[in-house]
Amino acid sequence: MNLFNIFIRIFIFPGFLFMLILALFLHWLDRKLIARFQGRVGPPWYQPLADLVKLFAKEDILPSGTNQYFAAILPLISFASVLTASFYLPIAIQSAPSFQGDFIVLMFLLSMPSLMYFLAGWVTQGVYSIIGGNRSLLQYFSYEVLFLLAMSGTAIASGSWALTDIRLTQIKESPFIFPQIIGFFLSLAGLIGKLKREPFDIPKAKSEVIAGALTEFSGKKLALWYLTIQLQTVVGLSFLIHCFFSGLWQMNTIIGFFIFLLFLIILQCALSAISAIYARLRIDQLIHLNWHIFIPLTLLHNIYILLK
Amino acid sequence: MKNLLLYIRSFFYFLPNILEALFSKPETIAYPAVTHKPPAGYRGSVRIIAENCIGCGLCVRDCPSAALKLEKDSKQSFRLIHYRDRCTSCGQCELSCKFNSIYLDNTYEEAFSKRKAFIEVLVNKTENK
Repeated sequence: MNLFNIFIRIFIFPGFLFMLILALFLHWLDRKLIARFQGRVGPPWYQPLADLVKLFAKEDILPSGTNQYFAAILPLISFASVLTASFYLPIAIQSAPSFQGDFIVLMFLLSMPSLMYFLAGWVTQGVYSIIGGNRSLLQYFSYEVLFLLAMSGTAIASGSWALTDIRLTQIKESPFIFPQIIGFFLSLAGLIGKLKREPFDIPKAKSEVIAGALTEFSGKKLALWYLTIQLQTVVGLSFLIHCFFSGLWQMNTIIGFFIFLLFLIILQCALSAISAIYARLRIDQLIHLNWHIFIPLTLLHNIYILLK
Repeated sequence: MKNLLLYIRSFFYFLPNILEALFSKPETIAYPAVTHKPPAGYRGSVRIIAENCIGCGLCVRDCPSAALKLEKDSKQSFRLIHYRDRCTSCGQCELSCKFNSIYLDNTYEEAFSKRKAFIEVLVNKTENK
């Protein structure tokens, strides 16, 4: 791999530019689908890009008394960690650098934005920000465990913490979606919590805490936050597809790439449908659902995989 | 466990609804070009049948937002003035009127750029000499 290839890989495909386009496309699809589900018209295709450009052009204001450097570095860290996660994830056509334990690294990188989100609420000192940040931390303790446990079912079944081995096992045997369908739905629930989408959008509940921890943010920083969440959707869904569906297509082929995109779109449609159907859960309902139902179910599921 | 089954059931309960919305026309209309037809019984602007009005002042007495004003010179000569900026289209005047004179129609486009346009003389009766 020479320098030019590395440049292409990091900045163009499947690095920054491709992920950005994919993230904006999926965000548009999400908004359009939810609008159509609710009987509205929905935005035109360029709306996410227009929003982003508008936010980048706007004045950047923070409340007085806020640590400016800290507030500026938080969205940068979360954006960078999600982008790094995308680098470790094999996006269908290009193999990623794989090593033993990159599954855990990916998990860690994907959970960074949630911690940064909490700190953002803490730093900006607004009432809504602090409540939103605390709520996000509260939610973090429930879905993160669920997501890790449910996703680790695939690692247990393949006997390795490397993403490549998870894929190779699926090619050898069968895609994990068939034996681990419960695990798939549980990890989808965990991902929804991670992305703070309905019905787990407690940290940014509009009618209760305005925009949660991001209430005081504006301009470039807010744009970066939005971009982070959109990228996180793409990376999280790709992670899910890689762990449960890969093996259905050949690596490094155009057809495989399009099948991957198709799965991405289908899963995004599922997320949108869930957003449109469910109302927001209360905090106690979320905790009850996670710790009393989902996590015991996941543990039982993992024991079943271990014994198999 | 009961909750989980409830959540799963509600997903399949509402799925036909959202799919129906997805494949049907949006409810949104291109407003200034296409106007929305108000439903029957819609309370819009205050209108009057001036011949029926005898200037009894029942509507003025009952109007909760003081949007009506009666200027009375004599029994035959009076003016009924309607301040549309105060009117909340509650329909009390229509209920109070004993002579089927004042009523609400279904016009909902009430926007004016000048304050004077809000003041409307509903009845202007002068004594016949």
